Amino acid sequence: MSKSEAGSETLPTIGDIDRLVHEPARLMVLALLYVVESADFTFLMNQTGLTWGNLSSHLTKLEEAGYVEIEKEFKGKKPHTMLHLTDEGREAFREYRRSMKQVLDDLPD
Amino acid sequence: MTTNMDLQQLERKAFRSTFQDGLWDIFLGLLLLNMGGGTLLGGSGIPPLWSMVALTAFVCAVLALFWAGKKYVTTPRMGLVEFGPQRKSRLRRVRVVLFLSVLMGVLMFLWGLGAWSGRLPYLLAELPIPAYVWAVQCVVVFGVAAYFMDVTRFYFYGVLYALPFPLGILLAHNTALTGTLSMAITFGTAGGIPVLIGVVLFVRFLRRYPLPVEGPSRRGMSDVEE
Repeated sequence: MSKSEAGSETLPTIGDIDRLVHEPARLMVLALLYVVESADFTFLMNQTGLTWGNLSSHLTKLEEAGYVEIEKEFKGKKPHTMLHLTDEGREAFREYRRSMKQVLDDLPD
Repeated sequence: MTTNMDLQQLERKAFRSTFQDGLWDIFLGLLLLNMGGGTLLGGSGIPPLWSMVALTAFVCAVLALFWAGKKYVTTPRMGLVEFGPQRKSRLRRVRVVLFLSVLMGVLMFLWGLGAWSGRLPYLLAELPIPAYVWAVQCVVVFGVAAYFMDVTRFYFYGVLYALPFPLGILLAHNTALTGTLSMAITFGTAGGIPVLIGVVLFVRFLRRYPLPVEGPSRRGMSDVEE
């Protein structure tokens, strides 16, 4: 197979990449939630370097997609938000890793 | 924002970040200082029971400070996280080693009490065997903790915990210092180092992680980007 043929075969795979996961800030949030069981908003803010508004916006998108579950609870009198990946979110992240690896491996030199 | 996708590194970094507040360092250092204080109290003529009460009260105060620091200073700044099964399994191993270490310490203490009361024989009383046992135990326990918790400076603390006892004995044998003073010096010096490191880390932590001002109305939604 020529290099140009190999290159053209990767195009559909690139198109299949989940754009919701592909955005760098959301990818970082998903990666963090993938390696821990759950984390609160403050922890995610510190680890990702995102601002409150930014993180909130991305989490809303991920929640709407069913990738992240946001649990609001009270610790004493203070409201507290814990977040964790849903099974769907975990699978989406795994699939994203597989797809990206394949795309990068298939790219011609 | 880093885009490093090495997931193990990411998890390790997240876990290590929970040790950036310096509270563990201060806690471990104060425990060593407490041992140094214990030798001084022991040699000061204060009844042993009162010495024990004072030392236990100090340990309780240190524990309370540690707990309060984690709850009221660290957690609100750093946030809460629950780690995955792999990390929990590593922490379980550390707990098992710590439990065995404490058990060994208690057995040694009870044997010492038995020997002191004349009910049990002294084991090699002329040789500073307990000093070597202490040193090896410290290096092993802190080594295991450092390895499974990915906190490199615990290796160093293992050495700091291991040295004061044998060094104190050497100092007492080779200088004009009394045993009590030698132990107080070695334990005091070794305990002061983690406390200093901890204070530096704590100050750096407070600067790096101010209390988050939550809510879009305060931080502004203008920086929301796609």
